[in-house]
Amino acid sequence: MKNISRIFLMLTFVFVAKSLLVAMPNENSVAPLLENAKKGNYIRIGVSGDVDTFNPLFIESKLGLQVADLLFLGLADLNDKSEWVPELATSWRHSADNLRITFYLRTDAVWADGTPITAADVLFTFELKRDKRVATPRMGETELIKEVIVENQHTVTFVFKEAYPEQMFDAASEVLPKHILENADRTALRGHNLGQQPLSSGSFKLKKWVNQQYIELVPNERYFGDRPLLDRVFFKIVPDETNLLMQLRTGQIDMLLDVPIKEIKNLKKSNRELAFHKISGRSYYYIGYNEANPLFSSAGVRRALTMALNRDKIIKALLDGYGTPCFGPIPPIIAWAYNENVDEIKYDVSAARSLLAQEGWHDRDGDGWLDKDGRQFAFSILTNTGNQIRSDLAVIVQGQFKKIGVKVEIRTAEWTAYLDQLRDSNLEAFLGGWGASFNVDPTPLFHSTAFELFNYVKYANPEIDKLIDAGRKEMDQAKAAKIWQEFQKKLYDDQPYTFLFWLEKIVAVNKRYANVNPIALSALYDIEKWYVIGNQADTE
Amino acid sequence: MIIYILNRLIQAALIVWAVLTVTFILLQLAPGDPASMYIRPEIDPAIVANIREQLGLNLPPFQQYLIWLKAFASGNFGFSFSHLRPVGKIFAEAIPNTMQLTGIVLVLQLVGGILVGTALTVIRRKSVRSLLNMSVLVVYSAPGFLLALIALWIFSVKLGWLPPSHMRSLIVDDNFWAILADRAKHLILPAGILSLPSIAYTAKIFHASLREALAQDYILAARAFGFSNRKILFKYAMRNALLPLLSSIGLFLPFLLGGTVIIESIFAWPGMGKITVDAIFSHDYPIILSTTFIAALAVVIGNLLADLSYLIVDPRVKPAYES
Repeated sequence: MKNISRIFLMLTFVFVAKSLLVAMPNENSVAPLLENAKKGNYIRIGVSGDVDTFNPLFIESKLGLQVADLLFLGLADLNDKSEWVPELATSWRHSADNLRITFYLRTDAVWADGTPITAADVLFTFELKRDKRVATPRMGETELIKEVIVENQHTVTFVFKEAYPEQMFDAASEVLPKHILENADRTALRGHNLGQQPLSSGSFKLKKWVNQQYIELVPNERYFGDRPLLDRVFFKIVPDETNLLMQLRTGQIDMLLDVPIKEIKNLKKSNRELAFHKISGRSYYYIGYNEANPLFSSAGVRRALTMALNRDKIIKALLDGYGTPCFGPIPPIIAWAYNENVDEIKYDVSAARSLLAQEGWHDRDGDGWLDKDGRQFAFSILTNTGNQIRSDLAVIVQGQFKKIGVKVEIRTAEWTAYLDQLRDSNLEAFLGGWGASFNVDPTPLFHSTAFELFNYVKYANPEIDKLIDAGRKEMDQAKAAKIWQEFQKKLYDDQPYTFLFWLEKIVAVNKRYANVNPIALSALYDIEKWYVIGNQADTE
Repeated sequence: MIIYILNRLIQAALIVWAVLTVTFILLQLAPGDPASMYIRPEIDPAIVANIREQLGLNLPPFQQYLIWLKAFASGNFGFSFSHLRPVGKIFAEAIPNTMQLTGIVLVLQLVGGILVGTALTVIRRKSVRSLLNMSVLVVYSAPGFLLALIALWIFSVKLGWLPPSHMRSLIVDDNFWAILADRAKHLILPAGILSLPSIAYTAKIFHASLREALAQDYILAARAFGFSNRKILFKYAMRNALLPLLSSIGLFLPFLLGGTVIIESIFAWPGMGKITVDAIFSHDYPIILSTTFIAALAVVIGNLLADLSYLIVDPRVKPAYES
């Protein structure tokens, strides 16, 4: 027995010691950390999920997109005013017919391994995106580009099939290193090592990525611009929301990119060191009505339903006020295209009732619900599981519609089943949300040719089609602005959706960091200029 | 004996294959697939179709099954759709982390369970015994996540003694002992919380079997010989009481793996648990199937080892073929 227990103890020790060593971090990586720890010249950003890959061709994770934006530069990028500013290109020139853009590249830009960044990299990136074997979800960016011509080492021209206002979005995006990828198997690029060990062209480079633990960025000493003021940027991955918030509260993380709205009040009370930044929303929630269903075919009915909803109250109750009413699919942050003067359909229960009465809906049998031709005004609203805001919203909507005599049944489905049901012809109404991109193109949502795409509500209006077609081609931004404003007004009048609200995003950051200026484009905007108050003299 | 073991091994392989096949069918029946994440207005459906083709998702389910089975049988666990890396590589990182946690928990479970189980048997004062018994029941029935959150609040937030998450600090001193101490500190909360219900479970089982052993005739005989209580307890009763524990540990392994899913998520421990949960939500078939494989294997091997250990420890137990 004694021998057995000895052997057992020894085996246990060997097992524990071995497993500890297997999972031990690389000791070389911690060597220079001590000095910086003393200076505290770093930031720990709390995130709930890991990065899938750093390869811009395949990133799907939110964090991946934000970090890759720091590692891989494009030819140009948008600034906080949504204007294009130089990155790898110093300047660019549009041809008179708007079918060509010539970019003039910096001569001092190099990859983190010292290889110069040239026009060949730009052409190579374009070829990768266009190649079917690569199968990148970003293949669409090459659809309207005819060819890319390398004029010389630092000049490259994009030739387009047609003139369209979003050409820069397609041409100016991240450039990839040709010398790393040129011999790689294109069908297996998805799993290429570049996704794990990105070769940076930006201000930061990846020092270490421990899966499911943290990502560590350090300044890229070969970057052509000013050295970032922070010595290290950590993204600390904490999947559990309660734990993540606890760490923000106790100062074990310095920043949270997306604070749950319900927690803001508590956080403000429990950690006075935190500053909160509000970012204007790019995502909106709506109720979609299937217009193929006779119940919703009239714009009058849809307007009455919108009128029955007290959106201000919903924003207050559901989002603690962190939202703004929505008047169409174009976000207010795209200021040039946004129409501030749409005629708002205000909350008015009696007006809603009389509008429905005009449409023939009355409570004839006195049961509290409206009816017409023997049919009760009743329908189901579909929503997806796993989204508390939507679940709560569905209940509120149900209650508010009841006040005008409209009966709503709430149906829920798991996300993929929900997506399937949106294409079902028996669909009645649903709660949905869209994230708006920075280029204005409502085609997939509201064009009559997009029933198979994302026009789930089967909305068809020739006037709207015409405006979308014209807006997509208009190169003069002032003229395009007029078209989009007209589009927004007409669409809002027609109410294919009840547009509810834009969600605001809240970023929390410790007050010891200066220059933090999160914008809708990125919460990490201008991270190169962030510094720890008091440390500035050391780092500059 | 060898024929018996071989027989059991073949049975085990068949069970694992059946579990995997059923899982594969269920995955195919569930709505959506890994390419669902690409369905959004910015991406043309033709591009999504191209991606689907590259990932082999356009093939008929049976063909997908054959391709997968062939690769799986040759040791290729496939390519993760959401991590964009081979599953083998992901597991090579995650499994040691989970093993580290579960290994320590198993040790704690055995040592703690035997200690508490013995205490439950030998303590004579009724009030103390009832209190201990009650605590064991509470710990056993409390949900792991609740215990975890309470422990986090006490030891991390209020007292600040222990780190709330991860396997290591972002910034650690550069020497072996500092790194070891840092790792140990990070292990206390997750391992402690994960082992509490197992200790309670083990204690209950051990308590019951110890009582049974103490009631046997040979114990009476030992007493008649005038052996000390200590000798009777440690040399005769405990040895026999350990038997049922052996089989229960094998059966407890799957529960332990289930528990790590929650604990790893809460404490950001980079093991199999979090990866598996994420894989389910993103329809990452290769990971789901590989995790199922490992879990099924753990159950089958656990059972097999329990049976075999019975055979070795207690010669009275004869396999069916001999009787």
